[in-house]
Amino acid sequence: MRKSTDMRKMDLSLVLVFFLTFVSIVFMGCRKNQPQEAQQTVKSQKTDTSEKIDLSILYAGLPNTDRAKDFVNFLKKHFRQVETTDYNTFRGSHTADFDVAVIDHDGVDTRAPRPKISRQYARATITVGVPGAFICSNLSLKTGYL
Amino acid sequence: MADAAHAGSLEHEIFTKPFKVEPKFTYFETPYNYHDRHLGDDKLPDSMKVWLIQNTGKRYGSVVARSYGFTDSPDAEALVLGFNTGKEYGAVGIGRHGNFLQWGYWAPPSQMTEAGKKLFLNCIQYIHKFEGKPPLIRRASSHRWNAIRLAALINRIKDERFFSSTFPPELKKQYEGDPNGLVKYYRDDFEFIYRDKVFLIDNELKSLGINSNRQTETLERLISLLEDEKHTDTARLLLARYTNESFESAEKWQSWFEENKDRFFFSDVGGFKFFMIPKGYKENKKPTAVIEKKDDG
Repeated sequence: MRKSTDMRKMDLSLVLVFFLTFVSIVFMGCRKNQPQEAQQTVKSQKTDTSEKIDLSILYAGLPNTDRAKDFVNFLKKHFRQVETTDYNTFRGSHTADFDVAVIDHDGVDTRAPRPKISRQYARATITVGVPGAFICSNLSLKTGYL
Repeated sequence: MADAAHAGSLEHEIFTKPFKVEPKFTYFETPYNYHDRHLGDDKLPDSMKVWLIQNTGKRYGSVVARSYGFTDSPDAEALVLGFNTGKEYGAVGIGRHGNFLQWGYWAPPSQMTEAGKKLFLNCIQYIHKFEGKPPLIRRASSHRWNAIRLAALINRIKDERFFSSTFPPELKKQYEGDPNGLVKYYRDDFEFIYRDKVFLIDNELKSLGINSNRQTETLERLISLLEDEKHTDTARLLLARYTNESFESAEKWQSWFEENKDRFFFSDVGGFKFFMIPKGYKENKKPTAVIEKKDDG
């Protein structure tokens, strides 16, 4: 009786081993060799937003407004470094020590002043809303307001 | 523009890096302006698949850039089409031109949807790749589609200056009160439209049996015609019209073409000219050329 139980246990173990081997062969066999770019995409894709992005951001907005606080708090949660400057006195040269500039006024004002930015300016920059579109228009960009 | 974006491919890295953007789609009724401004022969659907980038509940406040010619140069990308009630379907809600990424939506992060927030973060990371890569062209003209769009409006816009600043005077008598006729005039010769103060049809180019003014082959053909006595003057005129070069000899034109033939592009928006993609522009992932001066204004 004991012998028979032991045999059954052995059979079960063998079945389990075969099953796991089969599953791993099928799984490995179905995997395609992904291009390096695609593998990087999967690897770098984050499912939550808790990890900070390794970039320094300059936010040029309207100081002491709820909107600026809203943006800055949000950006600080997600980027390594966030500093601010005044939209009204923003110059391209302010971005020298940052990876990306975010230029934001109030999002909607068609008569917002337009910061002086030269055509040689080549820093990575986000412009926001209607004032952003007018900045782009001043620079004769396709992203401008027409 | 309101709060929504049109559904489109989510393969671009602004939807995947570093955060996966997972829009919640819905359908909105196709706005009247889309039907009214539609230039295609097909009919737009009654409703369109969209998703919310922000949640303000307002139907205005954000901004789109016109679609016509947005992608006629390799330095620009239409990243997200904005659902709008003022311009055409296809107008750009989020777009990049050179080192600038315009986020057309107006709301601060607290009023963005979760998908909108992730997209905004991804856009910041994405534009960093274009540090040191300013635009290759600047807006110098309207795209040729505008000739057709504006031709359709001649009965609606009564200001005399509109016609005279858009179309050549000889068309005034011929097409007065006949927008369909004027639209057809430009549609029939779409590949020959160019702009020199007003929208013109390039009959000189047509007379040479060339079938478009914006193909690289056109440039090659015009250079070859420099050595054909019958066409030298016309070819020289057209090379001046469509390039920023002024070589004296046919040999110099030829060697210029051979040296750069894989890098030409034609841009209506850039002024109806052939331009060149700088060497290494596409491959180089690090800052390339222009270093900002301290006194840049």
